[in-house]
Amino acid sequence: MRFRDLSIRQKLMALMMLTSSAALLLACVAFMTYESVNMRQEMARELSALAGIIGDNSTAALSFKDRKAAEETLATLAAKDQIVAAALYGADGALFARYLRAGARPETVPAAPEDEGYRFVSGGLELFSPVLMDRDRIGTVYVRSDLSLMVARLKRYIAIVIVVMGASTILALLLASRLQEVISGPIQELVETTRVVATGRNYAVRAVRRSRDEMGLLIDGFNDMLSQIQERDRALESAREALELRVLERTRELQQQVAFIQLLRTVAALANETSTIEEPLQACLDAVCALTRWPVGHVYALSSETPHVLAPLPIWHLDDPGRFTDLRRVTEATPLKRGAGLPGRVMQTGGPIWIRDIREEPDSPRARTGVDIGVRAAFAFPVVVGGEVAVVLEFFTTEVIEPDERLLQVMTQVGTQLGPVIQRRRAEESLRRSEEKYRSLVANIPDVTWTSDSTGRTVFISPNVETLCGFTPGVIYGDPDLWLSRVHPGDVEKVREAYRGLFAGNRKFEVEYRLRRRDGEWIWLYDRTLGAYEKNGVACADGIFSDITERKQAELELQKAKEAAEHASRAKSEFLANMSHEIRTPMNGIIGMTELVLDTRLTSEQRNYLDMVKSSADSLTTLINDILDFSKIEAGRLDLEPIDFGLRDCLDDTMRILAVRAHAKGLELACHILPEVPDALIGDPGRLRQVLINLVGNAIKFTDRGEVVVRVEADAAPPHVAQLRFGVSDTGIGIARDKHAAIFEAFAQADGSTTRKYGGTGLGLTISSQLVEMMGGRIWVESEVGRGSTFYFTARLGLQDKLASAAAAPPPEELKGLRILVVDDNATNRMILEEMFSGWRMRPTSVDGGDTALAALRAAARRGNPFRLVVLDANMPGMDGFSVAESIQADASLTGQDLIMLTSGGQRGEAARCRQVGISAYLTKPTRRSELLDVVMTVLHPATGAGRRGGLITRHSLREERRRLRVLLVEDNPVNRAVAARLLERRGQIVTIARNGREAVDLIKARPFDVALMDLQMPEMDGLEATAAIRASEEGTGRRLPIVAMTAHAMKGDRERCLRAGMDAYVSKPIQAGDLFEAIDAATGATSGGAGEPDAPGPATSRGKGVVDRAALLSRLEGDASLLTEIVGLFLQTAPRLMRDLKQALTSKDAGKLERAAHTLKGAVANFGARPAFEAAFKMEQHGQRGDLAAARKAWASVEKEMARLKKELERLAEEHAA
Amino acid sequence: MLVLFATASLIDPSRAQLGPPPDFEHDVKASFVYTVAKFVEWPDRAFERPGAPLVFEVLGEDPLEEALQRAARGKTVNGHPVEILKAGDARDLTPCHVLYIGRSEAGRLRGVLDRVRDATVLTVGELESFAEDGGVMGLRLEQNMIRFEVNVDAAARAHLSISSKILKLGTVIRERKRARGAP
Repeated sequence: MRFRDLSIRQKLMALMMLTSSAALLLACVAFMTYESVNMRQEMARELSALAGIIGDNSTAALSFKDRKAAEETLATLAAKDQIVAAALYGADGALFARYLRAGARPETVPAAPEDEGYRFVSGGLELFSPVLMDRDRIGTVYVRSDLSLMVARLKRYIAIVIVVMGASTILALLLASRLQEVISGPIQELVETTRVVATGRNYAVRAVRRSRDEMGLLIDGFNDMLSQIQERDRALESAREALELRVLERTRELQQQVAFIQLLRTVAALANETSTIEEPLQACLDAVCALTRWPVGHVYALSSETPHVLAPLPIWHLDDPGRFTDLRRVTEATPLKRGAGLPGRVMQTGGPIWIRDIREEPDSPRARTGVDIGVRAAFAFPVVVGGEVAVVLEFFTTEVIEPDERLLQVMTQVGTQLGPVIQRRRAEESLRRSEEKYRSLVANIPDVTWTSDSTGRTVFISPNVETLCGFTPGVIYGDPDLWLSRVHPGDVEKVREAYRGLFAGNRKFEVEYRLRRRDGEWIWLYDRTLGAYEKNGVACADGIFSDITERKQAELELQKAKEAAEHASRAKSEFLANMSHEIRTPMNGIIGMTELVLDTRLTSEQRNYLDMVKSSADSLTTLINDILDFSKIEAGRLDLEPIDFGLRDCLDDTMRILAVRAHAKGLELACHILPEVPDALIGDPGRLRQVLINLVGNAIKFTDRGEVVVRVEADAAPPHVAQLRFGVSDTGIGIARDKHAAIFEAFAQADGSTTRKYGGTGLGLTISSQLVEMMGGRIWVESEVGRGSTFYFTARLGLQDKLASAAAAPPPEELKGLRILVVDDNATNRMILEEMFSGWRMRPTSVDGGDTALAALRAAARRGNPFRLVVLDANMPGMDGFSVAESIQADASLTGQDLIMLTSGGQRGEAARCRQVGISAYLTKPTRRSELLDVVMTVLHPATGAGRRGGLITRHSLREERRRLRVLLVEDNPVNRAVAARLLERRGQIVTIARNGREAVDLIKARPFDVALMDLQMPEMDGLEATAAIRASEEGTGRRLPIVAMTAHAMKGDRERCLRAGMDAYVSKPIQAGDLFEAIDAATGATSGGAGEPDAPGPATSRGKGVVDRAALLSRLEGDASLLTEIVGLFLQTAPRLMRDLKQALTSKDAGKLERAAHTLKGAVANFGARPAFEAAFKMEQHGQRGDLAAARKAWASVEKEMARLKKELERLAEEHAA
Repeated sequence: MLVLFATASLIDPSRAQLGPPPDFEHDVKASFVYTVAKFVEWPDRAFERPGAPLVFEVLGEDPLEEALQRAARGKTVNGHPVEILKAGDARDLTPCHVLYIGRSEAGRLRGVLDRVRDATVLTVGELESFAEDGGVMGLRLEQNMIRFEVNVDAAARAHLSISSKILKLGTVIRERKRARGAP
């Protein structure tokens, strides 16, 4: 048991005991401690005294070292029992004499004196004390005592303490047990009282107070508390009773309110659930009567026939029908006007009315009946619809009841709730009536109307669907998948798609599909809808379908008939195509043979006949070709074959074919392609040409005078597509406006008579229009009779990726600002030419005749700004091109201009005439753009082109030219230059020479080259620098001139250095013809044309020990003896200078110069396969490189010797070959 | 019975091992004389003033005077500095506190003792029956140890109070009748 759980009594006793014992114990301990300390001090004092006596008694013994006397003195200590040992030490600290108690161990005595004073050691007290004599220390005395005395005394004390404590404890216990009663007694009593209160809940009990101390106050407080509790209990009891009463009251009120709410809810619920007006009213009567426990309820409603009159409705609540029969009868026979009777008054006031006793209102129409059967109280309330009292509900009871305001309020609410219900019911009523009308309408039309929601479920379908397909609407509503399952499998997807489009994209649809009727018969349905709408948050659609089976059958038959007809037509076209082909084969035979015969010797008569045969055959061929194309188109067998092509080339070629016919008729034929028209296209150039030939051919055919101009424009088009508009204008007879459409039809011409006059199949335009259509364009004509025609067509063509822009390669720089005079009587031609020249950034001026041309030329010459070029039209009225040229030639003031003649004719003898009158170039019209550029360039640079040979530049000469490569040879060494140039020219290349890098760079800026051969070591600008400059100038232009390095450097890494500098290939010198061509081919990516394969180089073993390796030399020159002679000559000419340079370098001790001179010499001799000379020069070069001039001087002799030998040998060689 | 050891403090230990040296005897005697002085109380009148020197005078035995010089020079006895004199002749004695009378004065002992009879002088001698003859303290060297006799009558005559502590160590004798009877 823990202390705190002990009783107060026990606690008090324990506390007292504990306190007294603790005090006693403390006193005893203090006493003992004091005694013990005291005893020790006393003991020490005693021992000190003893030691003092011993010491004093021993002074003489010590002074005279009388040990015996000393021992005797010490022995006196035997009288003291507690002394264990004693000793005397001399002044020097040595043990002098000692005393030991019997039984004590000798080692008890220290061997030497220690510090003075006493100290307690284990089991004893020891003391060292000085022995003094005459203030001198003459020794030390030591005494050791045991503690036996002290211990004995302590024991005695302890015994006394125990006895005292025992006695006092017993006394304390006795006192405590008596004294605690004083405090614990009243507490015990209080506890008892509390227990009684707690167990018995008896708050009337009071504790007795016996004293006025704290205990007494506590008991008083306790009693007070009990009184308060007693009081509170009583108050609580009464409060609870009052509360219960109030709760009961509130509950009653609440129940009533709940009943009202219930009523309202019931009315509302019923009103919403029922579909007639009567039901909610009846329910309301029943509910109100049930709530109020009134026996009678009835309804009046505004009469639909008579305004402002309430008509009784046969709606009643009667608890006891038998009793109220009379009231019912009378009421139902009594319509009430506004203000009459209870309902009438309600109608008048618009609010509820309560009558506590109807006997107080005897004037009421039904009062008497009511009173008679015992009706007393009544109330009524209105139902307001649209601000007007529409219905009045009245209630009666047999007791007199005072007005209940709350009830009336509730009734007003009921009326308010019923208002909208009745309104809605009325609306629904009228809706139902109109719907019935609609239904009967739907039922009576033959088409089936339907409504479907977005899930595909049929929401409504008119009943006549049954007669259509055998399914009733009910079956269709019941099975959403039914309809689709009856649709023909071939149409299902179509139907599904239509509905999906309807609901997903709100697209209206019209769809025809087959449906299997219930009896298994297939019918065709035509189903359509105008689109979806939303109804109640669901997407819906209305539609109609009709039975179109009969119409469909008719259509099918029609389709079959049409297909049969088309098939027949196709068969015919195929036949025609086959026939045309079959006819063409013998026609070719006829034409070919006729041409062969025409080449033989014939009489003029025969020739005449045969010409006619040939022209007839040609016409027939054209006719047959047209028919073939037409039938191909008809048979759908004509396809376009799109390929990459150049528009301008294509047109130029076409014009050239047509030009012959145009020029024969004396017509000007011009082609004007606007600059923005792209050139690199994808399409079928053959078919495009066919259309143009047809249109231009027609134009030529129907024009007797004037010109035919083709014009090409580009229309706006999406990316990667070119939309081109072609116009072919003539100055011919024109076409009447009403024939414009007909001419594109097959076998039609503007006029039947034209066929006779102009011939032709009349298929041309038809074919053209078909082709144009296939090219994604259209064809049309603008024309008036007598004023010429313009045929237009458009075509959609692809653009090639690489050069989608209209601009071709940039024009050469040197043409910029060059003055050129265009002389042509034809304005179109002038414009075309001017545009072309302007495009090349030249400065063209055009004039329309010879006189004006001469005037312009002279004027320009006078101003000191003459024309560099003159383009002349050969055929001009009045003064023709040749006359103009003659006049220019004749005029001494006009010099420095080159003349270019453009002719339509190409008549024999014209070329010769051109030469006579000083014309540089001669071209037939229409001229290609590229051709004209070449001519201009060639005229300006006679050295590079055919003009070099002084010939007239013609189309033929240009074509020759074009096959050849324009090679720029950059080389400073004349021998090497001669070798390379000759080899290239023999291959048919055009070689232009540059003597160093700078010249090369300038030349490349001025005009185009196909490839450059570049020496590496050159004065002024070496090959690598030149290459870098060329590459830098090409930056951003997209051009890249292939450059082939030529080097005598046989070093490894040269190749890499060249390629790094931007070169494309590499040949090492001496130049081997095969290597050179190979490198050029590789660099230009083409076979560099020319006169066949060069001979294989001579065998390598031919490098003899001779002065000159003749075999190798000849092989390198491809056996060209004259070249050999030439280069030997050149070498012999230059060798002395090379030797001189070398010698000079040696004497001036210039190692760099020596190296270069030796290198050049080495390169020169290498050409001849002169091995000894080469090696001598090479050694010299190396000496120069190392700067070893002494060695170089020694080597000089051998170089001189070898060069002399070489010279002699070469002279002999040249003589041999010259011979 | 009376045994005094020659202590290490008075003799050279190395010489002690080789047997008594010539001066050993004197050193022992000098030390004894000096120490005895400490146990003797002179009357106040024996000194001119407090702190006046305690004078030792050696008659007849020169080596002892030297040994005394060695043993006691510069030291004090009961607050008196020690002064050591050498007496030239028995007739020419300087007033002193301790008078050592050597063997050489055997013939003249009587006269010497008479001369200091009433003076407060502690007479010390080594002659046979020195104390019996009227000297205060007679010494005898036996087997390297000093034995002594104290003539308490002579001491009383000289007004010297000798500490009982040393009386225990020596032999106390009284004067014969003859002496008693003498004036």
